[in-house]
Amino acid sequence: MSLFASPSYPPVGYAASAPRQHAFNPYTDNGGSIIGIAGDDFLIMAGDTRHTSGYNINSRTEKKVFRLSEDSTLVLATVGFGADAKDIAETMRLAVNDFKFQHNLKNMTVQAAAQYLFTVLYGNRFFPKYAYCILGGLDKDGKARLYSYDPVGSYSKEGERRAAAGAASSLIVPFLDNQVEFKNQYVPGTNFTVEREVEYLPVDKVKKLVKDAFTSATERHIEVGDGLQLVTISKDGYQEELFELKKD
Amino acid sequence: MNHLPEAWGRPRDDVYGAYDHSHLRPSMPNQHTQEPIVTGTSVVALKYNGGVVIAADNLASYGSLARFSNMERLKQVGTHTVVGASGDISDMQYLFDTALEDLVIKEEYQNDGHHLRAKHVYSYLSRVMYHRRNKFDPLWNVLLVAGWDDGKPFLASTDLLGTTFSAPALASGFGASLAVPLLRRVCPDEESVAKISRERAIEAVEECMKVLFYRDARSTNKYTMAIVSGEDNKVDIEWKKDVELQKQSWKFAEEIRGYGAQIV
Amino acid sequence: MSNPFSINGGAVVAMVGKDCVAIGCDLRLGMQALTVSNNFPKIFTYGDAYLGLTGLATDVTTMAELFRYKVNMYRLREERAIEPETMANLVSSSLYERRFGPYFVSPVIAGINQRTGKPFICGFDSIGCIDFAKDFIVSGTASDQLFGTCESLWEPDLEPEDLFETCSQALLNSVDRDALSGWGAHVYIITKDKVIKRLLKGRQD
Repeated sequence: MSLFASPSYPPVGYAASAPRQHAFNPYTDNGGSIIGIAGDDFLIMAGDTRHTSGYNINSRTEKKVFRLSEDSTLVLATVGFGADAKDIAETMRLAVNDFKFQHNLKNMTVQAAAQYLFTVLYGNRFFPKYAYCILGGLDKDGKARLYSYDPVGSYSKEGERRAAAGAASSLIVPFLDNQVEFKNQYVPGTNFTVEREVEYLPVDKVKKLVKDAFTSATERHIEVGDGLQLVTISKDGYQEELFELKKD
Repeated sequence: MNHLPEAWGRPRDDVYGAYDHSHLRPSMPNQHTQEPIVTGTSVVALKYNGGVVIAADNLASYGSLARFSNMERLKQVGTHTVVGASGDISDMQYLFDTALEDLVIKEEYQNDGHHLRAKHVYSYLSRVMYHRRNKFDPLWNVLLVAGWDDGKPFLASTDLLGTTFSAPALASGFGASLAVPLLRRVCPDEESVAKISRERAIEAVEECMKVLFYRDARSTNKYTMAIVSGEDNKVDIEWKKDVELQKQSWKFAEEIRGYGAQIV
Repeated sequence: MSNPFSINGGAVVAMVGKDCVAIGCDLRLGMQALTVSNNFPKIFTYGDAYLGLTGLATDVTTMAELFRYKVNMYRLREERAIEPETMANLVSSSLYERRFGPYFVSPVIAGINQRTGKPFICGFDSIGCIDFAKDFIVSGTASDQLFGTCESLWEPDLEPEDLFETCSQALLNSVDRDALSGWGAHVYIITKDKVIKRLLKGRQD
């Protein structure tokens, strides 16, 4: 008789009925929203600084945009379940740091970081990290690149011009469609036959759009507000600004 | 004939067929701790100019039964930090008496003059909490870490999911709804920390403990308070143990309109 | 997708400008993901009051007909057209009459009071609670998107043509991000002595 075949006898009186279910829910939603917009040679990444649990505001100063290293242009914004979001940011920080020491002090390219982030997210395919990510940086030619991800990693290798995620993304996305990609806009006098051509916007215009998007989202979404963290990445490096949003 | 002891005194397989155990064993995965048993209620903490005040009452409840009335829920970790725990008491005791003790001892082995500061303790605790939630075996607590770090007061929170955040005023459990609004009146943002004196902070936290005792049915009137201060590069932790709530009065209730016995 | 409010899809938006109001709707009628018609307007006119209805299509039609009857009766009794404010109270009380078995609609009213010349808009929940807004009202399956676009694009005291453009852009860009709305739009731009109705083509997908 093999060891494994021998029956084990549970304690007498052990109930056969289905076990009581107090299912532990490993996820929660900590609210907030993030935006990324790529200019020609600069990148804007922004997020509000409110951190919520249900109707409670945990903190008014919790940042969602993370700089992945001090000497590269890589920036990651994450939103969703706060613990997973921060874990992804930390995993990416470590990867970028390790890469540097494994590759003769050469920094990870933004394309490589993008592919690596996919690997991280898809690696957790069967117990997903519940966070939406936007990754950005400048490539070797100094051009801005922006990638956005769903919780299990799918992303576009070509990159994007703009992305929004989080609680108020449904409010923000159509606004960006209109103001960044000029959707539903036509050249005057052409009787709606010629679409307005998409062009890169100057940095001050992009900042204005981002601030407008967040003040609007703050007005109409309870999980968005308190503060706006606005990060600019350009040839001049990393610049971070903080603005006030409504606290109600 | 099966001679193995497991089969003694049981129906013979060769006569009755192999015994069907399926009704004894549910075809379910292992169940870990999935509910708190003995619990502690809110922990309240507030930063001030030069330190942090943290407090938690001394009650450990078993459901609605006030089971242990001398359960301290604050622990000093190293020289710079106090951790407060609400939620499951046995999980708290694992963290306080096993995990954090081991952490501090291991850190001192190096004998390199480096001591754990609040941020390090917090980082460790939040990773433990997150790791356990990843294993689907959470430590059912909300922890507040108060301390002195890098010349500034430190205060942050982590919970059973590994969620982390920090703010100048924090409270767990019932306190998140009742105490935090009161504390934010004193200290709305990080900038205003500089304007709050030690006395004002203690007074505000004492008031919160009183309000919580009035309204939280799982609270008691005896609590522990720790004040971590870092004046002129020396960290000092003052403990106030077995403090009884002072100047209790339900007089204010007469002013309340909108519910209760009174008519308009 | 058993929510009655999101079986057929649709969107309505109303906005206030300087001595003018605008109200717009999409034209889609669907059965869950399947589009059944691309000519199902959701704005109905009752003299000076314009009523937009989103929600369950059968209730949209029923309510539009019910109000046609009620407003006609009002006009015969009173021998005058119904004012938008009065229409709002009629809609509200009619919905609340069905408090425990509601019509699954989210109505919007827009119009200019011919007596006072004041622009008026309002919205309702399905049991008649009125939302008197000074700026804009949104409703339907694209309401989240409309809140975002309206809150960002709208500004006070827009002239009629600017209000038309703002309203149209808010509507078109919103329905393009909602799978259950779109397929063209109607926009009414209402001033005291003129009403312009425009058909917007929009994306057909």
